[in-house]
Amino acid sequence: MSSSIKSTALEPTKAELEQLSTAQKLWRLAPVFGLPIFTVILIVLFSVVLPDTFPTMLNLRSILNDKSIIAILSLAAMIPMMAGRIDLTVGYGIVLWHVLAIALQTKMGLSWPMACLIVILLGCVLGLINGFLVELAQIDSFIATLGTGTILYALAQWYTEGRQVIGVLPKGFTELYSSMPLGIPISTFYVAALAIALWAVAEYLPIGRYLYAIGANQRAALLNGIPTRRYVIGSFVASGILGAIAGILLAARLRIGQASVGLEFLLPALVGAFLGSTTIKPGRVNVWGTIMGVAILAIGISGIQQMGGDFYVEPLFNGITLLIAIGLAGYAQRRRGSVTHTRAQQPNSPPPTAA
Amino acid sequence: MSSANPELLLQIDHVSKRFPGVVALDDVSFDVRRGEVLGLLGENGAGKSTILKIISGAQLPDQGTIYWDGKPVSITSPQTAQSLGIVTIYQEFNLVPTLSVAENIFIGREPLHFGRFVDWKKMRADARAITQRIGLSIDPDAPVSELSVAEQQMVEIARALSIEARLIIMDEPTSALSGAEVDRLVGIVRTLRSQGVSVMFVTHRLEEAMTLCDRVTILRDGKLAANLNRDELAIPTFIEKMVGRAASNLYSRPTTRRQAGAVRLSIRGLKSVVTAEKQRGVVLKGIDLDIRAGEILGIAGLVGAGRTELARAIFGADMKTADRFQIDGEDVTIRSPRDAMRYGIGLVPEDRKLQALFLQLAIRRNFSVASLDRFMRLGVFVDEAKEAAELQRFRTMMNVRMTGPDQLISNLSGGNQQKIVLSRWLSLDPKILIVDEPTRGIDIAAKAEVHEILDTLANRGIAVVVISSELPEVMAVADRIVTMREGRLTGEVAPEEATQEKLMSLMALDDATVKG
Repeated sequence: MSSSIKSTALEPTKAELEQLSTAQKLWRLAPVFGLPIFTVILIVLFSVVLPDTFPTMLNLRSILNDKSIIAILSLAAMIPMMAGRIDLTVGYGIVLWHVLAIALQTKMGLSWPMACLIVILLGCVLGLINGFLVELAQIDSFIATLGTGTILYALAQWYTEGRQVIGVLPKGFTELYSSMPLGIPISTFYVAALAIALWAVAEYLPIGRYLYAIGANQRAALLNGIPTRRYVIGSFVASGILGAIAGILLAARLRIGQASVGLEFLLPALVGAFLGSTTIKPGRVNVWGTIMGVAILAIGISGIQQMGGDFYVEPLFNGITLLIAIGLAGYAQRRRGSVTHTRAQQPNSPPPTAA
Repeated sequence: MSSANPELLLQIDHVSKRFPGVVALDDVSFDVRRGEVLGLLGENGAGKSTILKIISGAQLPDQGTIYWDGKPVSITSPQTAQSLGIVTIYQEFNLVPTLSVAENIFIGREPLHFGRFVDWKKMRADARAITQRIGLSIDPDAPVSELSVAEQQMVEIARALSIEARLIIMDEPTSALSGAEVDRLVGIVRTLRSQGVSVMFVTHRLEEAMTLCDRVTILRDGKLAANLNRDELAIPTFIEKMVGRAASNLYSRPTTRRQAGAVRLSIRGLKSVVTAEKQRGVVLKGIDLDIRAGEILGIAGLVGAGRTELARAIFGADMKTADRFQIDGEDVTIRSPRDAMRYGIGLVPEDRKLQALFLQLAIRRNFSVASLDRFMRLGVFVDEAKEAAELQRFRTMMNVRMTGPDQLISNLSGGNQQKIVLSRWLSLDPKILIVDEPTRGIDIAAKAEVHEILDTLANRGIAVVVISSELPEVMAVADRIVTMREGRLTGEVAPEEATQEKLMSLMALDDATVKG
């Protein structure tokens, strides 16, 4: 019913690696580091072809500046994915949130911190609604969030009536995005802080263990005393809040609110998280994998555009990379699967380390 | 091996199969004759699954030849196997639950009108004819999802017959069936045999192999251990060939009797609450039961008697009402597994894969999922070192064969997986541990180990409840046996007085005295 995302871990264990030859080790580790290696290859390639424009601080800044919002949305989408759910509202929400973040200031006359707070609260409410629909009304997460997302989009259209929301914004608000501490766009620091915090939660806190357990087998999770409903709803709330923050940052960046902007973030954000599930901890969505996924898309697209690629290159590159990465991961998994199976049949043979 | 014998349908001739680091099959030879039931026995890991995969076309042998009708064949795909007339019925059925019985039987081979449109009338009639051939009265239009497991299995057999299978391979066909259903399946297998169809019957249940099979092939550690003829069939022989030693003490009872302690859990008038969501299940109709510290209470009953429902109700997994529900003499309310765990109750559920394991996660995560509170550093982080140390303690205690805490649990055998599930609960120091089908799908050696573990737990003062479909198992481990039928307790028997016949009559007969 709620099987939008299935995952099977591919990460080799130390003990497994010990008994393999170097070539086999590389093959087994390829899924773990394939994407980072490909990223490095792309960087080297573009740096050689475009020595004047690609490997520059300016380009790095522009990539970081451009992609930080997608990175935050990707991380937002990743949280419900840990529990085996998908949240499409990360892309729809940002449309309404960035319009509201501006309108609450220019039309309602609220201070910018107040406007931000209200948007974040609304993001939280959206997450609760999504969580209730998925866990209490038992609607598949894909369908539930497609529904709520479309409604949000309609609200944004209705509110703006197709016009731009403009007005003078306080410096404090626009600096949320435009300041450059240490010469690096501030949004980079947001992404870094968020990634580190989420990584600690996902890998080292019980809540991360529980979310992955729910994603792996919800029935078993329940029978092990994990309050699965609460955690799944919580994962949507976290995703909703991060989506709202991304909306605020988009508003600070564009300084104009319009309902035609934002939806194009949905697919890259999901692609980032899906790509992430093929690397670092292959087989399950994970923080550094997600960051890696967003990074490879950013680097690839930047390079291709500088080489004169057209405007449609971005979605083309996103789509192709996703299919190749997921395809290869699935292939590696099936190959592994056949070997795993025979290993599982040999309980009476001594453990491989002793063999 | 002579390939001229016209009696022989399938010959496996010196077949070997290797996987990286493992010889799964080593020079195995045996044959299946026309119209016979061949039993295939062996512990988990003996190579049964590999030989099944080779015969059904899922894998190719590295060495050796397969003869079909006396001619060498290369079974390169399941389609090849099917075109030869080999059909395999796995434990997990290949049925489409939303489609009807008739549609499932003829899936991919629907009878057609004008070569294009499905001829529903003919399909129904054909389906009815085939199901009648195996004595199954079932509505061909019923969706498969509404059938019982046993009926679904019959549909699989009907499908095999509809493609004129000459060899039907059944992989553990009885593991999910109750006593009466097993009898019915045995009847069907005999019917098939009388119609000239050969059956290869893979089973863990030695009694079944004894009653049903004409001959038995036994594998051990990937090698052929024995090809036994009708007159050589005997359960002690099976066990000896399977484990490679005389197993005189299989299911033997410990000689010292335990003294049961105080009543841990006292239940009166426990009833299921039937909700709209859960209408189909078995309903508990008033259960009175006391469970004592330091005893193993065995619960015996046929599938559908309400054993699992009782376990789930006690554990808070299903809604219930009770006149009395006391732990250590105090009234408690348990509404969720979480509540139950707070009061020291643990449940090892019957279906490991579906209800207990997180197959794609590492052993350590499977081990500590219920007891993470005990492995914390600074009150916030999971203390992985402590977790690994505790896991290591259980690994040694239970003799778990694994490479390390980060190995995937799906790479362990059923027995070792079950030991990890037991460790999971033991790391919580439970007062009451309910174990539903403790040894389902695990091999004989591991079974004995699991029984030993349960015994140790009871000796330590834990109230252990063992639910099992295998009467010999209940009789071997329990200090006290209660029987269930249709949601009620129907009797209590001391293990010294218990015989399979006596228990079966309490479990299955209408006129059994209803207790309380």
